[in-house]
Parts: sequence; structure tokens; C-alpha cells
Amino acid sequence: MTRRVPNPSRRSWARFALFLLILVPPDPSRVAAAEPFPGYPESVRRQAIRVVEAAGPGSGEALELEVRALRRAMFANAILSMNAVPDRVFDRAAREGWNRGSYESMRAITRVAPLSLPLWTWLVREDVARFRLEEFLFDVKGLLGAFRQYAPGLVGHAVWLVLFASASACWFAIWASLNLLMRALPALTLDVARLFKGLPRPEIFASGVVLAVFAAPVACGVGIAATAVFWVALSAAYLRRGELVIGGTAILLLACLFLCGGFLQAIHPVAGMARQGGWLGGEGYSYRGGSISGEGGTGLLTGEEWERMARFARARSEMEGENLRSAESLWTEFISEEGDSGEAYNNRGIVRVRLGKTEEGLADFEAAAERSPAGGRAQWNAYQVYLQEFRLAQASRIQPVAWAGIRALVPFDYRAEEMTHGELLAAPLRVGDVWRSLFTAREEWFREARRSPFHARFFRPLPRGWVPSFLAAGLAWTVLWKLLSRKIWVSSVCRSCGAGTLVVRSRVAADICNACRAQVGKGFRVGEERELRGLSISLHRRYVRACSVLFPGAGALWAGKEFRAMLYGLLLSLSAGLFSVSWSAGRQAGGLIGDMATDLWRAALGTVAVLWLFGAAWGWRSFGNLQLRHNVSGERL
Amino acid sequence: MALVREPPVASQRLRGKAVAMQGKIADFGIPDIFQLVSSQAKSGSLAISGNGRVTIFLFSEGRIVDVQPDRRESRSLLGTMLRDAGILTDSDLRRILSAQGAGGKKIGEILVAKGKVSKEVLGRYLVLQVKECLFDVLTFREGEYRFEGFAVRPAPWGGEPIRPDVLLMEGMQYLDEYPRYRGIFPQGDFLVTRKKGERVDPHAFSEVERVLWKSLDFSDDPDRVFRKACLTGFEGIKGLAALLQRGLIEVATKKAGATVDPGKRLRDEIADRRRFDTIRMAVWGAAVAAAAVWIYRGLLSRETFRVFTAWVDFF
Repeated sequence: MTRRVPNPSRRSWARFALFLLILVPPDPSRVAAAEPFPGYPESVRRQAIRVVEAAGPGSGEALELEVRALRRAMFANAILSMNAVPDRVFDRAAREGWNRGSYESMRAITRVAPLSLPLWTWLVREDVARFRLEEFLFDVKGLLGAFRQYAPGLVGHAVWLVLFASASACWFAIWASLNLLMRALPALTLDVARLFKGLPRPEIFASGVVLAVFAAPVACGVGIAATAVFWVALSAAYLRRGELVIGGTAILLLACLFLCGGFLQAIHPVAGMARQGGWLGGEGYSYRGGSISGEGGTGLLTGEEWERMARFARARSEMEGENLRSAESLWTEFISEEGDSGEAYNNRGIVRVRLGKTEEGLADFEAAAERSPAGGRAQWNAYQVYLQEFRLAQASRIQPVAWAGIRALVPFDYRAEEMTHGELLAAPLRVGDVWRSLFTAREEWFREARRSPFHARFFRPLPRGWVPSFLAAGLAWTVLWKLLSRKIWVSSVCRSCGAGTLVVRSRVAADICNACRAQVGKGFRVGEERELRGLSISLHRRYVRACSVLFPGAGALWAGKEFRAMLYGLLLSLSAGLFSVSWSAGRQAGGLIGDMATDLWRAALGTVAVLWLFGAAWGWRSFGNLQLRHNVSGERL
Repeated sequence: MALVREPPVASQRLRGKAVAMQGKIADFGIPDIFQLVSSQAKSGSLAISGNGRVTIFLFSEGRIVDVQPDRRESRSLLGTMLRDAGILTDSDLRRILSAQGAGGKKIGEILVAKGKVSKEVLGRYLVLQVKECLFDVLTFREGEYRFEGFAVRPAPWGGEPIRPDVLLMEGMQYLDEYPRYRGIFPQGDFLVTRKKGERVDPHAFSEVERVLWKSLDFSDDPDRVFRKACLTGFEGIKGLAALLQRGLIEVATKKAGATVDPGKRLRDEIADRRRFDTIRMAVWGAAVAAAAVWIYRGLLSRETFRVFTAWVDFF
């Protein structure tokens, strides 16, 4: 019998696996991630999982039944929306490869996730792609309704807009500063060469100095915004008025970028945890508790308004978690302090009815209806309680108002004829309060701007607090240098032929040389001078063409089309900004947001590529036309 | 031919009979010959040979309308003069000479027709050419002359006909004064440049000095400076002497072998500038590539994307 030889490699693998088992204990966060609907009551969680499992192509009836069951469970726990459901369904669809066929399932689950803005947005996009006008109108209505009802969604879109604008501002600043520097470069080099007049080849030294000035911030790793301001200020004396407007706009946009950083930094602690169940997002995701002031403010967004909203969210989470006694005391406390909140009365009424305090609950509903007569929820809840108590006269008296009121609660899609099991409707946090509190100019925006990631990333190495002064100084220097250049002799380079001259006063009047104005081609004189002028034209053309290709739109600047070039730069920057805010989201966010962001970054990247090619061709052609107009382009040199 | 000889066939056929005057310079001086032709308003050609070369002057009614220097004396050829003045490049000159060979036209006619040189400039250089040739033949002590009479009509592209007696006055002055002015400067070839840091009042200059001063920018070779200023050697050396006496220029002896072909110098300069510009663009290209990496790290890196993706957390 052959003796078995032990396989050392297999044994080592086994040892390694055992080592891993012992060494790496189960990570609580991984366990939590495995749980698709953390924080919700068990019955709701179980039913939500059944909904996710029932979803699929051609599973209309079965899914509808599960959705209705989940809705009943949600009503029983005063849950308005489970925004995680569409994400889980889409994740499953993507995993199993039917995400493009998940349209019907997604449409069905809007009834259990009416506050999911990504879901409505995704449906709108699909409606457009499938040319479904009726559904499109319905989904747009749902989207707008979710905007009005769900604070984090509105804030999320606002933050998206702010980040999009910030990224676009960065791209515009880079585009503008590089283009303006390249525009000013020949004249700047000539001026620097004047400093080296005594040396044998001053242009070599001047080119070296200018290159060093250009490359120094890049080599030192200075932030993009700081460098852009430096480059704009450097080139200000050699620019036309329209080009100065571009430079000034870039600096102003960078100031806005700085403020946007402060705004984002200030509000991030408020809603940054929404997806994981933070207090502001608790209406769409289960809120897992935490101190009111801890997550609500953490010392950044302070004030009574924020405290009030945080308490409201806490009381709602207690309702959803079936902690009815605690919820009642929280609502009572809330009402005693705020007094005038119809939503709080309505929600306390629900809690009290659940606790068996029917008369007190009815009193709360009436108080809520008095405070917001068009609200709909309180009337409906009172109507339901009257029905359950067989007070039919009172029920029939308020029935029309109650029925009409809940029909108007878009995007919840409440249908009175289907709600026959005593469903009570809770009231969410008012979005208007959040909106007003967040977007009122606050001191935090300025204070937090210094601590924002934007400052560290784009304005380094400027010390904190110096950025506003630096931007103001950049703008002032740009204006001052321009005014000064009207009084001193500086170099000017003909836009058409590249001939350098010393001029004083405005660049606009002198940026086309006399020979080009007279359209004398390579000049009146012949022979060596003609050859040298021809060489100068040839080199200038080569330079501008290279700039046009590398920095799209540069050729148009040389051709004197400043405002059209600025418009082009804005379009290019917006496309690049869209790419910046969507690329990483498309790769990392997953779910519906990831799917939509992926489409966005692909479209943005394609637009950038097309715009780049267009800008290069447009600049090339514009400059060619300029040379043709001045008769310096006919002959190939 | 732009200059029309009437009747050319007959004159060639009767060449021997058409000769009006012939003899040795030693017997009948060149100034006398010119004065005779001028005073009698003769038309025809006057060929003067001496020092191993032949120069032919064309007269129309007693006035000089053109000159044909000896081919061996290239300095006095019109194309060479224009090239030395920087009006034509070597390649221009080669193209025009090849066109001349094909069509049989005179170089001046081709230049004017192609728009390379204006009629006025050409006229000035034709006068200069006549002067140079006349001053040259005035130095002959030995040699022969031969005048053939025939009708000559001035070419439309040429300048105004020149009175020989006026030129002869200048020529006599040249013979008398040139050695004195030339003696101020070093023997053999020399270089002349502006003195640096000197303040100049252009209004204090004579016309010749002003033109000469301006042309000193063009070259340090006096012959090229004279050509550029469209001055004869005599006028030029006289002007340079005046500038030297004012202390505005510096003179240096040209080293042997330092002569540079003007065309080659221009080509070298153009190539040098192209090379410098190419290197500069390449270096800038590298700098732009570095900037692209920097932009990538600043706006497209993972950390930056994380900042710009913060909006996802709000949904």
C-alpha cells in the first residue's frame, strides 16, 4: 500500500482559514449590513423582505398582494414610507440581471416607498426612455409631492446642486485661468525679456522664468483655486476687457465655492446620517435612536428650531418602534413647548388611540384639524375613529372632507375605499421648516468654510481665514494691474500675426498690429524682413493651434470672441462638473442612485469629449479666419 | 529684351558698319567719351574694357538708361545687390534667375512683374548700379572703348534716364576723395557697429548719415550696410567717416574666414528660431502634462470624488 504523502499546501490553507475565523470576529456593522431593513418592527421587516422577494418581471399580482400586506403593517406602526425597499429590490434585480425589466415592480412599490426621491426620479427617467406620457405625468407629480413631504430628499437635491455648482466652478476656474495665461504668455515673456536685456539671448531666460512661474504652484502642489487666482492675476495686464470679465468671473466663482464649502460643512452633521437612519431621514429610513441634540446639532447647527425638529423626529421614531408610552410623553412635551403644531397633535392622537385613550385621541385630532384645516390627516383619523366607535353621524359629517383630504396627500396614493381596516395617518416633519432653517444665511456658513474639505483641497496652502482676503486681493490686483497698464509701457502681441510691440493704454486698441490692419500680408518690405515676419507668423500660428487643441476655446479667445468663449467655457465646466458629482456616485452608491449616476457620468463624459473636440475645431477655425481677414494666412510658410 | 534695339536684326547684320567710335582709353579719356556721347545726344551702347572685364552702358539720346556689368564682377549685378541689401533671399534670387533663363527677361522686369520689388526701389538700385559701374570704369588707366549707335528705348519698368555729366562730377569727386576717406578705416575688410549707450539726435544727421545710421542695424559688414542704405561705396564710406568722427560707431578689423554668406546667415537664424521655439513648446508641453496630472489629482482623484459624492448621503 502506498503511503499517503500529506499535502502541505492544503494543510496550510486550512490553518489559515481557522486563523481567520478566530482572529476576525463577526463585525457588527457587517451583520447590520446583512439585515436589509434594520430598526423596523419584526412584522414590518418580515413583510418588507417578502416584498423584495416577490418582485420580478411578470410578478404583478403576487407583488401587489405583498405590497398591500406591507402597507397594512406600515399603517399599524404609523410608518409612512420605507425608502430602503426600492433600493433592495433594485439591488436584487441588478444581481440577478433583470434591472432593466424592473420597471413594473418599481412602479408597484411606490405605494410602500412614496417618499423615495431616487425611486420617483428613476421612474421619471424610465418613462421618458419608454415614451410613456401618462405615467410620466403621474411620476413627476409623485416626485414633486415627495419633494414637499420629505426633508432629506429636498436637502439632498439642494446639496447635489451645490456640489455640482462647486465642481463646475472649479473646472471653470481652471479652464479660464489656463486659457488666459496662455493668451497672455507671449506678451508676458516679452516683458520679462526686457529685464534680461543685457544678456546675450534674453528670450531664453525670459521663457525659463515664465515657465518657472507657471510650474511653481503645480510643483508645490498648491490648490487649484489658489493657483487659478494667481494665474489670472499674472496675466491681467495683457488681456482685453472681455477676457478680464472671464478672469473676474472665475475669481467670483471661487469665492462662491468657498462659501459652498462652508454651507456643506455646516449642514452635513444634520443630514449626513440620513441614509443610515439619522434623525432627519428617519421618515424614510428607520431611526435608531440617539440623543436629540447629539445628532441633531453637535454644536454646529444650533438654535431652537433645530432642537424642535430633532425632538419631532425622535417622537416619530418612538411611534414607529411601537414604544407608545414614550411616544406619548415625547409628543406631550413637544406640544407643551411648541403648542401650535397640528402635526404633533395628530401624531399624539394616533398614539393615544393605540393606547386605548380614544376620547383624548379624538380631542387631539380635533385640535390638529383646527390648526391645519386643509391638512386632511387629522380629519381622516377622526373619521376612522368615529367609524370604529360606531358614531356614524359624526363620521358621515366629516367623511367628504376626510376622503378629499387624503386624496390630496401626494405622493402617498391613499385610496379611502381601500382603507377599511382603521388605518391612521401619521404626519411627517414639515419640509418647509427644514428648508427655511437650512437655507437662511447663517454665520456657520462663513465659520465652517475654513474647516470644509473644499478649503483644504482647493485653497491650500492658504491659512484658514485668509481665503476671502486672498480672493479679494486677487480681484483687486487684477483690476489695479489692468489700470496700471494704461499708464506704463508693456508688451503687446498682435493677435493675428504674433508681432510684439511695446504699447501703453488699452490692449483692445493695440492688439492687432498696423501691418495686419493694413492687410499687407508678410509686410511691405521684402527679403530678410519678409522672411522673418513670415517665420514669426508661422510660429505664432503653431502656438495658437497647439493652445486650441490643449485648451479648447483658446483659439476663440485669440480671435477676439471672449463672451462666446466664456459661454463655451461655462458649458464645458458644467459638463465636467456633472461628471465630477456623478462618477464616484455611480461606482459606489449602488442601487437606484448608482444606476442613475452611472447614466449621468457617461452622458457628461460624452458631452465633455464632444465639447472638447468642438472647442478645438472652433478655436482653430476662428483663429484661421482672423488670419485670413488680416491677410496673413494665405501662403503656407 | 525689355530694352528695344531698333532695328536689332539690321544692326547685327551690319555690325561692322554700325560702329561709330572706337579707340584706347589712354588716347581718349573716359570722361571725354561720356561727355561726347551726352553732348551729341547719341543712342547706342558704349562698351569699356579694362582690368580684364567689360562693362556696357546703354544710352538713349545721350542719357544712360542701363548698364550691363561684367558677369565676372558679381558684386555689381542687380540681383546680388538686392540680395546684399536684404531685399531678396538666396532662394528668391535662384528662383528669379531660373525664371530669367526660361523666359529671357531681365531680372528687374521679373522682379517688378512678380511684385517682389516696387518700381521705385528698383529705380533707386538701377541708379546705384550705374554709379558703381561708372566709378569703377573711371579707375581704368588701360583699356579700350567701343561705341555702337542704334536706337534705344528706355524700359517702362526702369528708372529715369541719368545725365552722364552729373555722374561724372560725382565720379571725379570719388577719384579725388575716396582714398582719403578709406584711409581712415583699417586696411582690408573691417566691421562696423553702433557704439552702445550713445545718445543720438537724428535731426543732427545729414540725409546720408541718417540712412546709414538706420542701416547699421541690418549688418556689421560695411558693404551690406551701403547696399541696404542704397549708397555707393564712396557715399557710404564718407558717411561712416562722419559717424566715426562723432564717436557714434565702432570699427573692428574682420578676422580672416569670418565672412558669412548673408543667405546662410538668414537660414541659420530662421532654423535657430524654429529650433528654439520647438524646444520651448516641448518644454511647455511637459509642463502642461504635469499640470494635467496636478488637475487630475486635484479634481479627479478618489478623495475629491468622495467630497463631491457627499450628496448621496442625504437621500
